[in-house]
Amino acid sequence: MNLNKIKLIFGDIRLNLRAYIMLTVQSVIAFLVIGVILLVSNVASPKINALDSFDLSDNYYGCIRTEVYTNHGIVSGEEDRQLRKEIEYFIAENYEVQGSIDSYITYQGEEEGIEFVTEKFFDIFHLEVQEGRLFEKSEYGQDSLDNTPVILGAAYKDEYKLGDMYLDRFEIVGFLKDDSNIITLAGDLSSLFCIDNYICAPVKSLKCMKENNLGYPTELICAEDKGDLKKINDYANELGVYPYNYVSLPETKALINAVANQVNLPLLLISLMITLLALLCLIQSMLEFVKKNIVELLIHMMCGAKLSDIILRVGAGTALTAFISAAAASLVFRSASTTAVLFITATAVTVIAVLPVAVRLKLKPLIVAVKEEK
Amino acid sequence: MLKVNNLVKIYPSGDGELRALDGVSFEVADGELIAVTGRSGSGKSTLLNIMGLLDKPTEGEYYIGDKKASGLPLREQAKVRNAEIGFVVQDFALVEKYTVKQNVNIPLIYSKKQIDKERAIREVLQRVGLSDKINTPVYKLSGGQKQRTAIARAVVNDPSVILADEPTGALDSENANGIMTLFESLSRAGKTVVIVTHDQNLAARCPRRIVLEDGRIV
Repeated sequence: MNLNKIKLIFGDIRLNLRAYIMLTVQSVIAFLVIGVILLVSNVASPKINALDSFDLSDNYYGCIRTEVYTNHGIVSGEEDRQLRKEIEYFIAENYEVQGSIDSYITYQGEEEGIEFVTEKFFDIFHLEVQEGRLFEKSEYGQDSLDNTPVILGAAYKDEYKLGDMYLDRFEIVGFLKDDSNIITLAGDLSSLFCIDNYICAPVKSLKCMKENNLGYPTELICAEDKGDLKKINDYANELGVYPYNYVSLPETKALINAVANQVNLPLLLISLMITLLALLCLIQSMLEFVKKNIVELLIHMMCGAKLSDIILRVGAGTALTAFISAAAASLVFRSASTTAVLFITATAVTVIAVLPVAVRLKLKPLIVAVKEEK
Repeated sequence: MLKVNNLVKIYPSGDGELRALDGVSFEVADGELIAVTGRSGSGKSTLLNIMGLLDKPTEGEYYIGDKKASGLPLREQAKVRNAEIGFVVQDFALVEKYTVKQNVNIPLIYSKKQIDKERAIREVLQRVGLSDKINTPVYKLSGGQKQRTAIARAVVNDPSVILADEPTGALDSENANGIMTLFESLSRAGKTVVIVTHDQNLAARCPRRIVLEDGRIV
């Protein structure tokens, strides 16, 4: 494309500047809405992907919401935390459980956090060590906190080395790989979180956990069906704690999708309407441009302009509008995938908008169009 | 050389059809100046549009030199229009908002010829006597000046054929005379000039005449 053709394009845009500004604003709004939809989708999809990739059985159930409430209100005091531990012990006594629980060990007057993990914890979440080893089977269910090995998250790699004693008491036997993640089964509240800062220890025997007043990991409760979990709520009722809600893996996935779709659907409809409106305006403005400048376009064709030159000239303003809008919206979201989607959308919008004009010019030679105009 | 061979152009008209051209054949030699005359509706402008590759014949062939122009794809036809044909029409076909220079420059936008475009514009405007109007917007020009601008635009890319459709139709006799003199000089310079006109005085100045009636040569 030579300089004169570029000058022609910018000359046209300058003459219709106000219309182009309006169209750009409209397009920016449409692209922002598309970006928001992508943002919401991006929040939901990693959770679903993680749930699918981990070895979570459909027989695992997670507890949601009411675990933090008692008849007296939101759990906050030591007494309520004690109630929760009682329920955890009850669950551990009656069901197979998996997961991890944050516990606190007093060291030099300070409370230091340790996650006690169950035997299948590393397998379920595909957790591997970058150095050292995982726990041996015999190290789980011990009756004493003495000689407890620990595996540290990747964040501690520079601070400790294998064989060091954590809190002068727990031998470090391994370091987890970077970006190790786990997820909870908590319906739409499920969250994928990184455990690079975890200090993992093998869960002790229930007796030992009770003696040391430590909670028991019950994030995943194994049951044939939800009805089997009723006695937990009966026990909670005895203790004056609100009943638990249980969600399985399929229910969690369904809830995450439902919430994402709930947000997505209205946004999608609004976005579609705005995009469609912007598209119609772009097509209309191009057809108007052709109609208004048909004589000038014919003169250019008479003098050797090809159909593609005319389409390029007519479509350049649209392309510029669409791509400026996509760029502006991309700056807001600052995400490579969102930027890619927005630019693909801008390309599609340009093609769809130029298509009717191209077809019109192709089907009806300009000389015929001019005669009709006259 | 231009060669028109059995050209037919049919337009749909109501329930039937209109034969605007009905088997027109003729040849024009290089550098020849010819007039195509006939009454309104005889098919003159249709013939010129086909010769200018702005319209397609229903049947028949049209050659520019050895090249069968009527069968070329649209893209190639545009190239031929740019390189080989210059148009001059009754209502000047100028872009009113452009200056004289911008109008004359239009064929050069699409030209692949390696020429000094600035120089070509200045030379051609000097030939038509509009050097002093180079930056004047076209809407400020008189009818005669507009037609001279159109002629300058028609020849700026050095085409071999000039097609003129009623070139003096909107001009007084003095300006018409001046324009005709320009065509004669272009013919002498080797350009093939085809003028469509119903002005008998203008046609009389052309060495050869073709008369069309109801789409046929008579």
